[in-house]
Amino acid sequence: MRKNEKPLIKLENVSVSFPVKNDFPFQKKRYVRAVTDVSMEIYPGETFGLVGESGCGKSTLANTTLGIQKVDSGKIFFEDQELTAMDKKQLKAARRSMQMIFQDPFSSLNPRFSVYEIISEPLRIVGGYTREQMRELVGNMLQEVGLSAGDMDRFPSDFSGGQKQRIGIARALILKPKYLVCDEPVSALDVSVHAQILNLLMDLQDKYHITYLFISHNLAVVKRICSRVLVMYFGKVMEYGDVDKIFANPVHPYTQALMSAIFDTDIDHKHERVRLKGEVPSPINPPIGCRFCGRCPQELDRCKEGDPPLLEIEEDHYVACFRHGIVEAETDG
Amino acid sequence: MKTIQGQDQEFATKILSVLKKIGITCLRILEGIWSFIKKLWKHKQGRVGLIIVALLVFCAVFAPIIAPYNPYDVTQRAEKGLSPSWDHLLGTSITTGQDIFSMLIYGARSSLSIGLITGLVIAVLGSLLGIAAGYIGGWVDTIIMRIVDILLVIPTLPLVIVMTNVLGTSYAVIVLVFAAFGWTGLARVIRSQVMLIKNANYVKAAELIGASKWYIMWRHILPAVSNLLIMSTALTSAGIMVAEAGLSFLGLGNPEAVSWGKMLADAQSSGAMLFGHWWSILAPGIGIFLAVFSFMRIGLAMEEILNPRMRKGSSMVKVFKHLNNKYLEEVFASMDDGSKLKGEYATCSINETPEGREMLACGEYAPSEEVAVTANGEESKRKEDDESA
Ligand SMILES: Nc1ncnc2c1ncn2[C@@H]1O[C@H](COP(=O)(O)OP(=O)(O)OP(=O)(O)O)[C@@H](O)[C@H]1O
Ligand code: SF4
Ligand SMILES: [Mg+2]
Repeated sequence: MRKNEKPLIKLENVSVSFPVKNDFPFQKKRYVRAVTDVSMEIYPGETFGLVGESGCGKSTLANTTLGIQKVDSGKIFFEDQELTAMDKKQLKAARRSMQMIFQDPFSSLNPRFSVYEIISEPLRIVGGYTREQMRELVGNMLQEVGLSAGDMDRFPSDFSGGQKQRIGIARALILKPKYLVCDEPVSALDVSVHAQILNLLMDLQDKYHITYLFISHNLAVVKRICSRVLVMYFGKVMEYGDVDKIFANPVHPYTQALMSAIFDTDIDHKHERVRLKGEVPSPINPPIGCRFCGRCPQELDRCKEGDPPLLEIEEDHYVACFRHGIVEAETDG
Repeated sequence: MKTIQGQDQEFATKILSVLKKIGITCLRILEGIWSFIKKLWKHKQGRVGLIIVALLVFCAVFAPIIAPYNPYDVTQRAEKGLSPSWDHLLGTSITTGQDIFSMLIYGARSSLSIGLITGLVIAVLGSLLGIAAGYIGGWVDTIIMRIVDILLVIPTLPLVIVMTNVLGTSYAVIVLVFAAFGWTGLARVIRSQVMLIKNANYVKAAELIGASKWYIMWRHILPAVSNLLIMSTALTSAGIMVAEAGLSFLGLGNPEAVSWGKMLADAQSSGAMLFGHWWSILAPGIGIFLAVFSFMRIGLAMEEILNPRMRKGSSMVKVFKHLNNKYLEEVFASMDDGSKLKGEYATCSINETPEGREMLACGEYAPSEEVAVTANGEESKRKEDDESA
């Protein structure tokens, strides 16, 4: 079904690495491989989840979809235009329909700007609006995110964390983007306001048909609001596809471990809690073979030898693990 | 023809828009200065400083009108060593017979202009180089910081003395040398501030929409460091005025100019105290004191406004420390904790967040036995979310 639709964003074998500062001179240059060989598609109007441990490259991957992170290799398409082949000017134009909201609402608002200045900043950077127009737009937008137009001349310090996040959302939506990256939009907030902010995001998505890339540590939230999800581990895709399929049938040992850690007390849940042994490997020297080697409870001998390819085990459900896919592929062939 | 006219028009509109931008920038600067004065006025010590500075500036600007004589005019000299009288409010100098009251007023000109000009040059140099190092980074940063490292270990005052020997004694030399060596501390502090702001999410948001580097510098970075700049300029100026007085006293100032330091030196060398001419020593002393005191008040008031927790003690020591470049870093170090508490400058690095650290920690430092992917603390929180969601 997905196959007939045109993706809004498409990544083809994208890799990103960061140079590491040398400990001593004349050392061979080392790299943190933040994202390795990731391919994915995000379809218009959906909420695409991105989960994984801290430092596994989620934010870096999100930045590449926005074209603000240089890639080592691979291609990124936004509405059939190749972001990776654009010059600065074209990128700037393409980015106008992309926006981002941040994890930390405190550092995402300039404490010296009034709310009006914060929300109208995109309009001012793009240019071509009069002051009256901007005030009207900002006022409307404030109401949309559940604040009042009277808040326009107050400063960020007057607002609570949740309200600050609403201001951040208003700024992100003022240019009516098609694509919005939400980088852990609620994890810095008080638990009591999580649901409000998530509901607001969902309402706004319905209203403006925005596509979300939703980064989260919280699988429960992902299950609730995302339609498709990508599970990452150390820069590589482990499992990827339809949320319902993955949650109903987590195939990859890493996904299983994640799920069992979260739905531990679920009475209906048949899985035993999977405990992981070993330590998180260093991103500077990723292990050869499957990234999950050494911690995987179901490890095979061949796992150390090569990278498991990402294979489709059912419609819109991809897994990169030697235990799955290949075996079927072999029996198929 | 038409196309040429069209081009002309385009050109004119372009110029107009550029002019408009410049105008807006000027207005913004004026607005900033005005808001700064308002802030100072609310602060008791700041108000004292402001009033005295206003008085001194008034004296300096209108010196020819206020002063009864022109000390630069040889024909207006009176008998040497007169005591105070209605003709000569503070008497005349023992060596030259110039009117001391007039010299006092004209002295404000040299002292203030030297202090302010050097302070401003340092502010401009320090902020430009600091912003360049912090915002552009890379080799620009490396070069600037290496220069800072080198300059920091060269003592300024002895160098000024040497330079005046080589280049002659003039104000230009003093300004040049103090400015060339005085910007380092400011640049360092501004650089560290800029690096914090550069990584803030609000800058990232603006860059995402396509804001230029100039826009980020003008709208986000400069306003954030402007208060610090003003504070630093006030304290530097105070320090430079003391240094200038000291140099003049040593005979290393500008020999042609009338300055408070030189008045002191002349009074001292001509034995004013022996003749009982205490006024000829007290007058320039009060001048120097008022100028330094008022600038210091403004600088210290500014510091308290910036950072209410730095309230302990406010002394000359700070001004000299400031000249030695250490002071600013202290101020900023303490300011950083303060603003981190308020969350204003919390950097956006995700691994810095408590959650990120927790997750990293449970992965990295966990013993090699059993490790859950997520920390147990997280789990309970998640369940709450689930219920509330
Ligand atoms: N600008 C950078 N320079 C060097 N290394 C970086 C940079 N940005 C990210 N990294 C490294 O790349 C890896 C992935 O970082 P990233 O921020 O994408 O992780 P993340 O999954 O978003 O983590 P979190 O859940 O904590 O937000 C990390 O090891 C990080 O240290
Ligand atoms: S490929 Fe091997 S090590 Fe990797 S997840 Fe699958 S079973 Fe575990
Ligand atoms: Mg992140």
